[in-house]
Parts: sequence; C-alpha cells; structure tokens
Amino acid sequence: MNCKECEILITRKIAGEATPAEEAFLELHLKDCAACRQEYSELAGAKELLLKDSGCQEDAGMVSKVFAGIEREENKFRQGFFPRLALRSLFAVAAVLAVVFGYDAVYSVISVSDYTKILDFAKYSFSGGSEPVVKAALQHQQADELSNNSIDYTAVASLENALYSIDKRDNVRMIAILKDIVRRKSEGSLSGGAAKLFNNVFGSGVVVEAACNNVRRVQDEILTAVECEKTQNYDDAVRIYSGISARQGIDSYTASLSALLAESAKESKLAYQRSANLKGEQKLKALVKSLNYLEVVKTAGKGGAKTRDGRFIVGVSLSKSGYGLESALVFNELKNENEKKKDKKFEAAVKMNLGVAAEKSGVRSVAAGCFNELNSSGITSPVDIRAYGSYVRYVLEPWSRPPNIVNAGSARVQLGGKEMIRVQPHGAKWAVGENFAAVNAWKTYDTFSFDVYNPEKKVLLFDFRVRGLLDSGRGNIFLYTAGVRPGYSSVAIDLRGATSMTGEPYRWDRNVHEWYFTQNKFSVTPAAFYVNNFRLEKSKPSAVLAGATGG
Amino acid sequence: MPQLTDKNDEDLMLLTGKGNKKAFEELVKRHTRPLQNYFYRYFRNTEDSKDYAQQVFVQIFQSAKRYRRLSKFTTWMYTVARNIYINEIARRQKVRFSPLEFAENKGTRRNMVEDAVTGKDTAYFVRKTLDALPAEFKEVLVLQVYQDLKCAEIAKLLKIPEGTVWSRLHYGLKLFKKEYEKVTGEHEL
Repeated sequence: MNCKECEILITRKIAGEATPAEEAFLELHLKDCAACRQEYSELAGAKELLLKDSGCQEDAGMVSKVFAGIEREENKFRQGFFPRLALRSLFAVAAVLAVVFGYDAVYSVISVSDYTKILDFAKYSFSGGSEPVVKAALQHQQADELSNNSIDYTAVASLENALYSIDKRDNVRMIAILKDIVRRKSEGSLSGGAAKLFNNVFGSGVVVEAACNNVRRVQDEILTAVECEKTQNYDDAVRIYSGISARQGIDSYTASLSALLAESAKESKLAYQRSANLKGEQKLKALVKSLNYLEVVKTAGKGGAKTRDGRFIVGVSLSKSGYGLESALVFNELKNENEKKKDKKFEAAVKMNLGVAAEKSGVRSVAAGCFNELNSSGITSPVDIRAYGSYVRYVLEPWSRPPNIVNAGSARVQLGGKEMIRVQPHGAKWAVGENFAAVNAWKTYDTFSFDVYNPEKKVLLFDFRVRGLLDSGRGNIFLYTAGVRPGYSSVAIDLRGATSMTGEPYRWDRNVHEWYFTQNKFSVTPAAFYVNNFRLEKSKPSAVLAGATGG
Repeated sequence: MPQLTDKNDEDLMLLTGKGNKKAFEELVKRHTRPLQNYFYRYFRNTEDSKDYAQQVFVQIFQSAKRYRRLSKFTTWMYTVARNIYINEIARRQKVRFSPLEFAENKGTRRNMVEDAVTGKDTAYFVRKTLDALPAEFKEVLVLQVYQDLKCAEIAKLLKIPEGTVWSRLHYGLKLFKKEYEKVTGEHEL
C-alpha cells in the first residue's frame, strides 16, 4: 500500500467508517511510514479540536413549539381554502344564472365581489390604494355600455380624481370634487353607472360630512401647532402633529363603513319589499339583489364602530391621538364584556391596549393589573412594572449587520464628528433601509430607534414606514409619524403596541422586508435631515434586572 | 409491543405519515439538538437556530405523508435544513456593504469575545477558524464531525460524488488545523 491509498484510509478511520480490514492495513502502514503517522495525528488532532466546540444549548420546549408551528400552518391553509371555495361556487352560480337569465342576473351576482372590492376600498381609504374602486368603476362603465345607457365619462373621471385625492390624502380637494358630484346627482345629470358607483362608494354624504369636519378640526389643530412652534414649545407641536396623523385614517374608515352599512341595509330592505310584488325571473333577481346587499351589511358590520372590533379600533385611535383616559374606558368596557365570551386572543390584545392607555393617562393601578396578568400568561408587557414609570431599556444586540441605506437622495456626511446619513426629499421613498436583522428578528424587539439631526429652526415631520413581505401596501403597512425638534434628538418607536394603518395590531411575525422614510402630508416644505445609529432594542430581561436591584 | 423509543427514525417517520403524533414527537426529541447545532454552526445565534430548527420540523411534518423509505431520514431532514439555510444566506447576501460598514459588523464577533472572556478559549478559536474556512470545506466538516453523517449520506445530500466528500473532509481537516494554529499564534502574540 502506498501513501496515497493510505491517505484515504486515514480519512476513513477518522470519519469512523473504516472496516476492520482497512484498519489493520492502516496500522501496518503507519508502523513503517513516519510521514503518514504525522498526517494521521494531524487530522485526528484537528477533529478532536473541532469537537471541543459543543454548540448551543438544546431548546427544551421544541416539541410544543413545533406543534404550535404546525397548527399555525394548518390554520393558514384553512383560511386560504374556504374563501377560494366560496369564490368558486360564486362563479358556478354566475355561470348557471348567465345561461338561464342572461347578463342582468350575472351582474347582480358579480356585484357581490364589486362590493367586496368597495369594502376593501372603504377599509383602506385615506391610506392609499384606489385600485379596487377604479376597477369597480370600470365594471360599472361596462355595464352602462352594455345596457346602452349614455356614459357620463366626466362624472367617472371626477370620481377617479376624487379617489386619487384620497390616495394623496388630500381631503380638501376630495371634498370639492365630491360636492360637485353631489350637486350633479341632485340635478339628475349623472349617468346610471356613475350614480350607482357614487352611491356605493360614498354613501349618503356621511363620508363627505365626516371629511369636512375632519378638515376643519385638522386646520384648527395645525394653527395651534404653528403657534406652539413660534413660542418654541416643540413638545406640544410634536404631540399635535403626530396626533393628527395617527387619527386621520381611522376616522374616515369608521365613517365610510357606517355610511356603507346604512345604505346597503336600506337597499337590501327595498329590494326585498319590491320582490313581493314581482313574479318569476324578476322576483328571483330582486331577491338575489337583496341578499347581495345583506352580504355587504354583514361584512361591513364586522368593522362598524358598534361592533367589538370596531370599538377596538376606536380605542386604538383614541389612544394614539393622546386621549388616554377615553381610550382606557373603551378598552375597559371591552374587557368586561369579554369576560363572558373568553376570547383569549382578543383578551390579550385588549389588556395590552388597556394597559398602555391606562399608563398614558396615569391610572397606574389598572395598568399594573393588566401587565401583571399579561406577564403571568407569558406575554411580555411593553412596560417593566418593577421599574415603573420609566422604560428601562438597554441595547441587547445591535443589527447583525448595520443597515444599508440605498437611495439616490441619501448620502453619508460628517456632522459634529459623527457620520450621519443625509436623507433628502427624493421621489416616493426618501431613503430605504433594507432589513439586516435575522428572520423574524423584529418581533423579538420592543423598540426601533435612531438618532436624528434636524437642521431647520422648526419641528420637522416625516413618516417612517415598515413593510413586511406579505403586506400589500394598502394600509396594512406600519406607519409612524416622527416629529423632531430642531437639533439633535432620538426617535424611539414602540414596536409592541404598533398598529398598521388600518388600526389592526401590526404583524411583526411577518418578516420585515424594508423600511423607509417618506414625506409627511403635513410637512408643506419637506426638508433634509440627518440620521444614524439605527438600533433594535429590547426591554431589560427580568433576570438581569433582578440581579441589578438585588445587588 | 416495542416502544416508540426503540424504533428507528425511518419507522417513526412512516408512523408520522399515518398520523401518529407521538412518533413525530419522538423524532423531534431525537433531532432537536443536532438540528439546532447545525444552524448554530452557520448563523452563530441560538435564537435563530431554534427558529430554523422549528421550521424544519414543521416542513417535515407537513410532507410526512410523502415520505418513502428511499433514503435515510437524516439525509432527508438535512436536505430540508440545508434548503432553509441556503435560502437564508441568499437573502442575507443580497445586501451590499461598504468597507466601513463591514468593519463595524461586530455582532458575531462580540459573542465570541464574550465566550473567550468566560473561559471557553478553545471553543472560541475553533469557531472562529471554522467560520473562516471556505464554504465547501466547512459544510463537509459540519456534516461529518458535528452532525455525524456518513460520507455516502453527505454525498447524496450535497449531490456530489462520494470521492469528493472524502477529499473535502481530508483537506478540510488539514486546512482547519493550519488555520487554527495561525489564529491561536496570532492571539498569543
């Protein structure tokens, strides 16, 4: 046997895969060959060294974790499956009706999905995404064409304009356009399709009114904030601006839903009453129509302010706008109601929000009660109760890699001895940070913070947005409006109580895809600012805290 | 009747495919530590490793019905694990760094420093050396030395000839020893 062959045997022996015969051969060769002996001891030594690293600790709770994961996946599958089934049966019904009764019947069935789209719109209005309604508009337009009605293209175009203004969060312009349409509708100069679309989307003017009130209130508030800025009372200015921004989406959402709800319930009832005097095909059509409207009511009811979820949204909105006590009262009521139903998930969400709201309004006994209960059921509360009143935080682990800021509008500059990233108004996204933390990392942290330098002599407002891979961008992204005083300051964003733009708790368990800065709608002249020191932070774990206080 | 603990992985997997959750539980118990360690060798983060190991088990459970006794269970398990690892690496590598940012990257390093301070010197340097090895050598070393896979299994898993696995193991060990001595030499200076 030569040394080349021996090399293979040495490796096999070290891997523990040599047969007894091979081992015997190897032993013989090693006796005579010093070079191979050297090689053997070198490789064996290497393996021994490698084995000195015993790796990480075993996760004792893996079995339950895995089964929880499996259950979650199965739930996802179920949730995905049933809507598909429903849609399929809808198409089947549509096809049958088309054969038997012609286009009208199909139209009345298909309008269910139109309404779903409109509802989607209502949900996301003021937070971007007019696409579903534009699609619905096109369908109504086609319906007009097919039924040989004259098409009011100007009206449809104005509606699209109004929608565009909503997209841009331009309430003033939207109201102007809508008022014009309302006038034309009352004169009867709107075509069938346009009128129908208007009815469906904007209801009986409740939305318009709500938006008007909203604008008035916002204008007042902005004037107050400007006064605050003049007197260098930046804290109040920041609070007012952030409050406006947080409230904006929620108000219109609730208003448009209740408008839809009222309108649809009325239509459903009317259609049902009409069907009593009809016969055969016509009666069937009227009944189908009635049912469709009812479907809208049922769906809309889930989000209306009178329901549990609706009130939850109102509570969140109040809390975000700084009405801590009012918000706490809403959540307290929800908590009491839930004691009979025992919806655990909801209970946890309510407790969390009640705790935060109570903390904000200084009712510490209530807040402590909530957080204690949450802690005992294994949910980390956003506030450390033992160090009550102060958010004890420390940086547990910085980014696994520092964030990369990519956008032509940003550049690195030296400022006061620090390297900062200049963020300049530039296109839709001013500066994009890609997520470098590991998968699912954001969900394990409590705050996202960064340092800002504001070179202006007034409060600077900008939006910070986070997008997960599965967020559509039509409202379920996370938006935070940061208001910063002149000079250096630090922005800390609470991730635990964070809600998406539709008011639902933001899903940090979805992988964060990107985060970026954009213009805030209230910052009239966007200004450049400087950022650095991005960090994800955790509350101090209890063990460390106990050690610190005990010592 | 034989206990579940006496059965081999493949039998347990077939039972899992038939809906036996206890069998799957046994599999999870057996392979949690190796799997977690597998990811730990690459990402050097205990929490991430737990998450990835959980992902592997969930995927295995979901496709349990499709399992046939064509290959060893561990080969299959590590194929799933390796895919997760590759996807994750691809995702992380999409990112470009300027040299300055790279110099600031102290996340992994800091953990090692902590370990070194707490007296795990050898393990610390072993990790540092292993992480610096070229990927193809590191992969074979991890699978053979730590995960205890047979070289034939590794060949199947990596879709390379068995001879290549042997030579990578051989030169990987040699390279490791050489680099280790370099690193520890540096340290002593």
